[in-house]
Amino acid sequence: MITQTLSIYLHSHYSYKAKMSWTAYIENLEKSGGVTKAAIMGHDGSCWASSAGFTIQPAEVQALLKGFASADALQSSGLYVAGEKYFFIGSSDSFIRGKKGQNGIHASKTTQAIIIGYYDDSIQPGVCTSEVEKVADYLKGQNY
Amino acid sequence: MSGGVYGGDEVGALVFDPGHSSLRVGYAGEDSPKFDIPSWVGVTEDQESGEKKHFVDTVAIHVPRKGCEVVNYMKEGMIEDWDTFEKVLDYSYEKCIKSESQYHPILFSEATWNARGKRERLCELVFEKYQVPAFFLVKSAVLAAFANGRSTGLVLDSGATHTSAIPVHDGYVLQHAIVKSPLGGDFLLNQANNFLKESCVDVVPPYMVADKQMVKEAERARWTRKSGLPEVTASWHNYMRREVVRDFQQTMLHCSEAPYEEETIVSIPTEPYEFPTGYNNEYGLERYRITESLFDPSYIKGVGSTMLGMSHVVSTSIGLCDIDLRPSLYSGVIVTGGNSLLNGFVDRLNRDLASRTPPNMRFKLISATGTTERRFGAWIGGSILASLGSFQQMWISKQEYEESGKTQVDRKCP
Repeated sequence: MITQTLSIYLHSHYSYKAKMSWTAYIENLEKSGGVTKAAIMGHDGSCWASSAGFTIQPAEVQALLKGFASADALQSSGLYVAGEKYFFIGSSDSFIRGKKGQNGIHASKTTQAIIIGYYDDSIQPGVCTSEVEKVADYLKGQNY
Repeated sequence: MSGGVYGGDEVGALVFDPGHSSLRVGYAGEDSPKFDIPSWVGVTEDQESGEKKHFVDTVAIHVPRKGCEVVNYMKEGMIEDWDTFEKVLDYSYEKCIKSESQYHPILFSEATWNARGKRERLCELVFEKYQVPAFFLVKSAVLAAFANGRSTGLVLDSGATHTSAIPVHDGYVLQHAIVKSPLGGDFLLNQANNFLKESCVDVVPPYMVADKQMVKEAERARWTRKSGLPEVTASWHNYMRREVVRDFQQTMLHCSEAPYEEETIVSIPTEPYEFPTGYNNEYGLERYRITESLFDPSYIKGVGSTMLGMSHVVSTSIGLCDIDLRPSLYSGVIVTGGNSLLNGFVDRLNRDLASRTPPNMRFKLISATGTTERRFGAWIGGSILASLGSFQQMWISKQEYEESGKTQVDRKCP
C-alpha cells in the first residue's frame, strides 16, 4: 500500500518536474527568435512539451517517424502537423522540412523525441533550422 | 538573431554564378553581371620546375601557346577542379572586381544536386582563404525563379551539359522531383559537329587562317594557313574548333514551331553561313532537323529514344510532385539557361506543353524576353536576392562560421 502510494507520488512528481524542464526548452526556442511555435514529442506520440495552441496528434508523429525512414509518402501527399497540411520540401534521416505559403515546419529527430519548430513569415527558414538543430544536437548529446 | 545581423546595405555584396560554360560575377543590385569568365582555363606546365601557369578569360585563352592544355573546372554543374577554380576566383578579385575579398559579402549559386561535401568545401574556402565577411549559397533554379518574379514554379533550365526540370516551392527546391536529361547545348553542338563532318565541311578555327578569298557558294575554300604557329595541344585545338561549331549552332539552328515535317520545312527559305576559311553554303532542312531531337529524341541518330524530350521532362517532374502543388507548377513554367535562346525554342515548348497540360489546370510559360535576362537568369536572381532587406538575416556571417564551423552551410542554406 505504501509502496503503491509512493510510486504514484513519485510518478506524478517526476512527470510534473519533467514537464517543467521540457517546457523550458520550448520557451528558449521561442525566445531565440527561431520559431513561432514549437513542440517536443516522444516517439510514442506523447507530448513532452509544446507551445500554447500547438497540439500535435500521435498519428502525425507516427507519420513523421515513418518519413525519416522513407519520405516517399510525404513527397506525394505532404505532411500534417497540428492539423495543417504542409508541402514536403526536403528531408534526411534526421530532419524533415515542410512549407505552407510563408509558414513552415522544421522537424528534427533525436534518440527519443522529435522536435518540431513552426515559423511564420517573420522568421527566415534558415534561422529556424539552425535553432531547432541546436536543441536537437544538445538532446542527442544527453541521450534523449 | 544568432550570430548577429550582418548589416550589409552599404557594402557591395558580390554575386558569383558558376556554370559549366562560364562563371558570372558582379555586384548585387545591378541588372546584369559585370564579368562573364569562361569555365575553360588554359594551363601550361613548365617541363623543368613542374610549375603550372593558368590562362584565364577569353583573351588569354584564345592565344595559341605551346603545350597549353584546356581544362574545365566544372563537372555536372558542380565544382570539380578546386585548384583551377581558385585561380579563376583570384583572377576575378584581382582583375575584374579590383577590390579585396574581405570587404564584400558573397552570394554563390550552386547546382540543385550539389553534393554536401562540395558545399562545405566552398564555405570553408571563402571564409578561410578569402576572409569574406558573410557568405550565402542558393540553388540556381531558385534564383532563376526569383529573376522572373516568382518564388513558386517549375524551372526548366536548359544549359550547356543538360536540361533539367526543377520544381520550386516558395524558394525551396523539391529535390525528389528533379528530372534531368542530357539534351542540352553540348549535345546540340555534337549533333551539329556530326552534321558538318558528314557534309565534309572542314572546320578550321580562325587562329589558323592567315588569309582567305571569296568563293562561290559550296565551292572549295581558298585560304592560306598562318605560318609560325606554335605546337598547340589537341585539347586547345578542339576547344577553338568547338567555338566555330558553337557559332554555327547559335546562329543557324532553329526549332520548328510544330513537330518536324519535311514538307513544311522545305518551303522555308534557306540561310547562308560562312566559315572562317571562307567556305560558305546555304542551309535549310538540317537547321530544323538537328534541333528536333531536343523535343523528340527519336530523331537522335544511333541512340535509342530513352532520353526525355523538353516537354516530357517538365510533365514528368510535375507528376512527381504533391497533387495539390501541380496547378501552381503548371501555371508557372519558367524557362532559363543559355540553350533556351535557340531560335524558336520557347514557341515550340509552349506548343508542346500546352497539349500536355491536364485540362483542369492552367498552363503558363514564363520566359524573360531579353537574351541577357535568359542567359544570366540565375545571376540576376542572386542580384535581386542579395539586395533585399530581409536577406541580411540570411547570410552566414564570419562570426557564425567561426562559432559553428562549415556545417552551418547545411543549416542556413536550404
